[in-house]
Amino acid sequence: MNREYDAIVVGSGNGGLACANHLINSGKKVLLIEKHNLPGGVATSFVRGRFEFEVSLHELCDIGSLSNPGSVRQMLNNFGVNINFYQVPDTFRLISYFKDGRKIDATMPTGRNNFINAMEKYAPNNYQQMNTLFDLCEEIKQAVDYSSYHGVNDKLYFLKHFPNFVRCSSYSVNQVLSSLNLTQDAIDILGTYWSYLGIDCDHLSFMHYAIMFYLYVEKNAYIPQYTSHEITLALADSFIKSGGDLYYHTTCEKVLFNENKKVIGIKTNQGDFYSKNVIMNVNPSLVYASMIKEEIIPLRETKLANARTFSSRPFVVYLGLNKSYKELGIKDYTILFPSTTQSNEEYNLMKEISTNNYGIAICPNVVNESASEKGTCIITITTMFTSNCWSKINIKEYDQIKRDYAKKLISLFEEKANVHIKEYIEEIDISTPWTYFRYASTPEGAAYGYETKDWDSILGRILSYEQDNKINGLYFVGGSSIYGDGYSTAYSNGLFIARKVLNSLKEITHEKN
Amino acid sequence: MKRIRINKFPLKDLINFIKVSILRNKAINNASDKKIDENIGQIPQVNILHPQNQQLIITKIIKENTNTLSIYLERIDGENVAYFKPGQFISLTFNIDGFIVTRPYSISSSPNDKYYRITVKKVENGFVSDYIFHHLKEGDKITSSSPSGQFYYEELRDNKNIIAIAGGSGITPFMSMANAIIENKLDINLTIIYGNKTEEDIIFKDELLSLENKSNKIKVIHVLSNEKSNQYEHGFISKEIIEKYAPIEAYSIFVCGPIGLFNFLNNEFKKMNLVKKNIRYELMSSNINLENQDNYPLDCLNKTFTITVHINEKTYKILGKSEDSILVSLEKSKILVPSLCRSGVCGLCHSKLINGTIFINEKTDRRRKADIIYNYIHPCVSYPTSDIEISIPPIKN
Repeated sequence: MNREYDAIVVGSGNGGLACANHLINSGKKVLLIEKHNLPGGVATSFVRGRFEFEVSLHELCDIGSLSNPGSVRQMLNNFGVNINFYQVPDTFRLISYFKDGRKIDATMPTGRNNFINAMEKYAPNNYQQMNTLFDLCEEIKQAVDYSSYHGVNDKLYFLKHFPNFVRCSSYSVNQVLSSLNLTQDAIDILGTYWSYLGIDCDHLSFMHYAIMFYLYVEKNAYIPQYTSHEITLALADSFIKSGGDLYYHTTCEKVLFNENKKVIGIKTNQGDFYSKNVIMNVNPSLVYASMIKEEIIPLRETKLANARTFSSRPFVVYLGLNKSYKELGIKDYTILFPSTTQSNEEYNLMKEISTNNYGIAICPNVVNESASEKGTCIITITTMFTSNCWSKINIKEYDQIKRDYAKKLISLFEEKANVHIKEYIEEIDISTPWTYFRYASTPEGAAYGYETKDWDSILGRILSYEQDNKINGLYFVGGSSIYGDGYSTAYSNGLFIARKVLNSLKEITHEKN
Repeated sequence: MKRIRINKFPLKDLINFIKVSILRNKAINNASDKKIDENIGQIPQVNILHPQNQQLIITKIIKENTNTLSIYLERIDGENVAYFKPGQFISLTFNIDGFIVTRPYSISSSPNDKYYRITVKKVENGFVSDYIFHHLKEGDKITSSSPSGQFYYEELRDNKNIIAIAGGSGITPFMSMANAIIENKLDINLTIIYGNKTEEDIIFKDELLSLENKSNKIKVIHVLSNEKSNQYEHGFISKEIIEKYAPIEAYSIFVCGPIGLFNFLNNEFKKMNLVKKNIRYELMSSNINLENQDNYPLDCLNKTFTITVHINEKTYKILGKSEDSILVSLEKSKILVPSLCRSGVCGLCHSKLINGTIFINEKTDRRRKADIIYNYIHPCVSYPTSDIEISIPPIKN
């Protein structure tokens, strides 16, 4: 059996699926291995009773409309994937408290002008500055798109065409927003999305935030009709139809190297497979910990892994309710209810189970009526832990702690949104960081890879890409790699790496000639 | 747009941009050069709570009645068996003359015990049943899955008063719940309504009486369909019997037994104004009779089809009878494939149907919506209605 491939992709999460598909569509011979019996990692769903729960996708950005597709929809089109997407009508509803204790209950719509007008309502006198902000975000998005195709070496090009990108990108969200002369209330409301990136606004790079903000507000967010499981199966099928090999229950144990420290393949529980290009949809720390001999790992990469911290460990309560969302009085798709708008304070509170009062409630039926049967609805309540506190819990107490915390989250949601849902719970499932560790094998159950804070910002990663990744033939995709967490970012980074691999394969062909 | 300025000195902004790489390099250089710990990010509790599988040894086999055995299983490595919630099951793997098959069994012991007790009722001409009753003995080693299943009391969802309706071997998960109540590990009031044909068929009659005497939270009512007795109720478990013994306060109903019990109760429940939320089911699976299934294409009965199976790199071509599920046909051809619940729920046998058609009973179809659209099936509850080609994962080793 010929086990030689142009590329081997380890892990069929979003990054791996995007990368594998791009490579197979470029005529390469590709193997995609997956340790689980299903593709997708956390991009999946599960069934309880008559409900199907989306595991992790809240909003997919960069889909765009049918007539004006964003890069994710374009990617899906290129792979022959046909999925019905529903547009999420608002960006979010924020229910929280400002620093001085005033309550804020802000429903922010999508669309630049709608958003700016709504902001004027909740935080007046920011009209001009909001317009500047949107212009700035657009420029940053364009700059990053450019860099993903052309690299960042031509600094003068960036200075000439994306001068504000250059000026703002090294600063934090709070630093830039303050410099734009936005009022504090506006800054606080704008900072709401920080938890989708895993680090507070004093340490989160403005550039990183700007991209997400711009995409969600200007280009809208979407959800697939049949959960992320639909996207995952479609991508897996497309890969196989194009001639790819997709092997399940296959785990990579070691990366194989020749005497010149170049990648030649992998050792798995199903035997060895060979390729000069191995793409890991696995956290680099895990790869370096057990799959590669110490002497092969460049010192810089060891130090880099030691310097980093893992990001955002999710805790999710999935609820199937036997009343419709209208009967329950729910109007919003997304409600974010941090205990305070001060993200640095909230980040610290989210380190411990006893102090974490943060939550995001999603009701898919608001966007897609048929997300569950008539007369029922689904609510998922998500929080994140910004420390490894769950790893310290012992097995005997786990169940009770999990249940008590779920109860607290549900009560918090009921109080903030002013609804009653407890007596209508027909199905419930609770995921903790342990669950994520169990199914997605991410370190500490972290869902967002490494914290993109300060020196480890996206900009830093982009600028240092060549120095950070010096193992010849080894690449990384997924949440822990260059662009950080998120579905669209993982797809993007999967394509980015595929292009690098294709270049490398072209060079080999030229060498042969 | 106009030039934005963050720092008082515009040049500083440009310098800071260039400094990003310098700051990154500084942070990296200052970091430890120690080899990355091979246990980085691991949560060892998870592997203890949910081991991939467990190597067990049979420490005791007890005859419960003329056609029922209880088997006590402990870990060969001396550790406690993996934790479970009362009501869950384990899947045991049997090697019978070279045929590797699995069967799920509800655990009838308490989560507090160091062992699992499973209780098996004899099935007429049952392949595994015959093996268990005639060949299995104390000291035999057996591989088990981790505990699994959704059939347990959930305090955030169910009422504290549980009416447990059992038929035949369906009593097993409720034995676990009752034992857990005695040990203060489960805080519910349990009313067991247990249906059998005759008194002789009752499994755990003495143990149930003993549990009832030990706790006022446990009540047991026996209902015999084929026998009249002063001690017990007679007939089937009807609306009248349920309401006679139901508590005044709100209750949740848990049902465990054969398909006949389900079908009967469905009608009774309709007369009772119950909400779906308060009824939970666990089917004690038996081979389904395809002729009686709605929508089964009768012209497919008694046929033999070709099943082409891809398991990663390997391809097999086998024959499968229309009345055998695809999983059973694979097992009969000695092909190793993943299975756990064998009732269409858990999704471990998730496979792609590449070509051909299958039949699946709606009630056992617990697939996700996208699975149906993209032609993924659960072979344990799918029956071929034409030659088929499927792709299935290998077993996890």
